[in-house]
Amino acid sequence: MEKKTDEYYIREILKGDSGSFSQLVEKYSHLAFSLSMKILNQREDAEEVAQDAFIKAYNSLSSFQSSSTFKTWFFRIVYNTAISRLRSRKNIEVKIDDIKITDVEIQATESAIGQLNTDDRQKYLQIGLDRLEPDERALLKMYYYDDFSMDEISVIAGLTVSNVKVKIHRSRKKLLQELRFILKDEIISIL
Amino acid sequence: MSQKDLMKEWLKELPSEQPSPDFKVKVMQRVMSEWTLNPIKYQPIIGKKGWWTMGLIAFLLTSILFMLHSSLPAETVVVSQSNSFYGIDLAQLFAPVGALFEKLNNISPAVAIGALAIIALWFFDQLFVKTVRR
Repeated sequence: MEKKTDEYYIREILKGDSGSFSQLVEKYSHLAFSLSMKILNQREDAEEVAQDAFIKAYNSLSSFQSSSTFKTWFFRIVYNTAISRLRSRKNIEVKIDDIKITDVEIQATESAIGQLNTDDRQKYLQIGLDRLEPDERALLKMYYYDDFSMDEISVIAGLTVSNVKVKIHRSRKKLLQELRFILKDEIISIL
Repeated sequence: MSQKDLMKEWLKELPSEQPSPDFKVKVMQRVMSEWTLNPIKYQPIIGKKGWWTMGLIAFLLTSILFMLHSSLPAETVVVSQSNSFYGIDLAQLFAPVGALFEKLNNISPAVAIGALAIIALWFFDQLFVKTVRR
């Protein structure tokens, strides 16, 4: 079947063909779920949030402005819904950021990660990501995994572009710091 | 390889997180229940009222121009056509309009009545359909 643009499906939905929404669900369900999963780190919650985001998008489709892409607009909804869910959870652990890793240590950590086999690298990266703050995980995922631009992330997360740059840089450093801690034995053997 | 590319490569190695197989079905069920509660109504940029108003204005303008043209003596039309307005040759501008009305003037009454009858029938048909639907 020929794939049409998001704008085409939006026009069809606004004309009354709600079935066209399934095309958008099909296209973005995976990305929406994985973004909310990165923020919430809990499968049931992430799935519920992704569903809620789709319903919110459907209900406010008439207010969608074509000045931004549907993808960016929709991911802003997913991001905000997931962050709201996170805030509503009780006992949110507040961590104080303390990034002490030096450039030399970053290089050594990257080198150690590079020498791991794929399975181990995946395992340690997942542990490292789990130790980050939810918004830090989401930013890293959007930038490195989903290939969103800084401008798009700034729209989705409601931050300025310079703020996004700083946050991604800090999150990356923090991830490497966590990995350094996890991989300290491997790093020592390399050095 | 740059630091960005390295991180990108590693993160892309991570297995992608997939929602449950019935995720799309669940979303669409919720969308459909939303739709039955509050269906989205298509609102065209120009509504039916707008189209009717525009049609009426166009009809009135054409009628007025036609009547004006018909009421003027042939000489007046020729004289007025020789005038220019801010450097624009009005004769040239009105020539096609004049020619159109000349042709309309020459239409046989039978054809004119036939055309009017068709328009009237179409109008009454629309009116009837609307009344029945209500």
